[in-house]
Amino acid sequence: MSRSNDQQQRQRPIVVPGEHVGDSKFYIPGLNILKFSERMFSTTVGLVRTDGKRLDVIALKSFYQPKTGDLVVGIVKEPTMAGWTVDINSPFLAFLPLSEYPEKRIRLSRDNIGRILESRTVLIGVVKDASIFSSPVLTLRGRGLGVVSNGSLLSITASKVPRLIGKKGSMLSIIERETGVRLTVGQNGRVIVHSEDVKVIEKVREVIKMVERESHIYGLTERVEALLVGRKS
Amino acid sequence: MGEKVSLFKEDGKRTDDRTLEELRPINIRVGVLSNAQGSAYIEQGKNKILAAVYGPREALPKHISMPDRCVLRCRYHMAPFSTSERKSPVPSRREIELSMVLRNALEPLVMTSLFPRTVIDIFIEVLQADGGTRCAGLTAAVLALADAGIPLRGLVAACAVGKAEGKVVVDLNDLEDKYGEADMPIAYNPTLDGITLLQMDGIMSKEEVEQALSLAITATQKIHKMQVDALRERFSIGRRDV
Repeated sequence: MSRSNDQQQRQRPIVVPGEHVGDSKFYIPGLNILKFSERMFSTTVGLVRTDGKRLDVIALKSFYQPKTGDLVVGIVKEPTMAGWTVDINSPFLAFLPLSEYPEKRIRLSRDNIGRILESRTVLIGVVKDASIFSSPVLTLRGRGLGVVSNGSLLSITASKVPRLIGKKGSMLSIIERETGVRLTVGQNGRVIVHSEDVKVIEKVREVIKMVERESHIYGLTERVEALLVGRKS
Repeated sequence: MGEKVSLFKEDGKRTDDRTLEELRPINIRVGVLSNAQGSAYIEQGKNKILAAVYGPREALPKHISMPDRCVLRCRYHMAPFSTSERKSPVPSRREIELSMVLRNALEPLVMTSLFPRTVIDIFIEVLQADGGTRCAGLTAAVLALADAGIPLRGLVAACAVGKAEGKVVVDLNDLEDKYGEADMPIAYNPTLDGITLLQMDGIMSKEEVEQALSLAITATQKIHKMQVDALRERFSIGRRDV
């Protein structure tokens, strides 16, 4: 059997929007589930996961929904009167207030905030406040947060971030160990590779794309290890 | 329209050799545009239609945004080369109306409350037209939405039914659309057993409408199955990206 056919056999079944995934007599609806009378349907293209009585559909493609406390990698869009708008790879633009910029005291009368953080500046921040009624607010105050001066930016679908990190960070540590570079993975699906070595960046890109593409097929960790070790030798 | 056009052959079949309840050959592909968030392409008979979805994204101009849900913007457009005679690329009255009709048909499907203050743009571009473009466009647009990862209350499939020379027919082509007695496009959501689009142009009796409705639901269920297959193919591992 070819590798591709073998993979297809071992992948979990994909459900599509409107597909019946279970009944509320047996399960409690979780992520991406629409309950209609007794029946539960998927609302997205994804994979069914059951955790006890809870039934979820893990989306194969999704949008990042900001949650308070999430580490995110953002790109400054433009300055405003009281801060900056930041693209966090989400339907919602985040806002970084001047008060959450750590490095120096900013005086609007003297400083041009467009020069302090220019548009397209990449930064690592934490979502300080997220509600459905207003834009998520970011902060750069904290350890490891701030502007990213070098490295490479990659991105994956937000729903695949937990798979890229792995259980207790196992997948991430495998990638870091085998490539010898440090990665910052934002919950919003953006990844910073802290390296300027083009070959290493390309290798990490390949691995990340593999995780994104094949996360629903059994034995991903082994395949990632094989890819990295194969590349290394 | 003085000339008499025959919509059936001597053997009782339609001009394109179909039976009364037969659909035109349908070919669907999902994820055909790499720059769009989601996309789909459909060929239904001679119809060739491309649908693309962008968003949810920041609503601009800001005043169109809604505090409790996202706004759907839909643009149905026929390319200048889609018809036998050049069509002006300027949106016509019909296209503007159809854009609104399709948006209204898609709105109950999209879980808009998950993305307040944002907008989803849906573009339906008819590359080649042969009757029933609104239905085929809607079928493709739903797949583009699903491909974009936007949560939906099921997949809607659409199909036109109508009356030609006194007989109820399914999936009207351009000739039957122009010279038939009635045309009734229907979009049906098999998950929730609901109709999201129902229009009618022409005259049919109550019995004929009931028969047409039942035939349309059967036809849309067949199209729905094709939609599901196309979506699965898009996300299956063996597939190559376009």
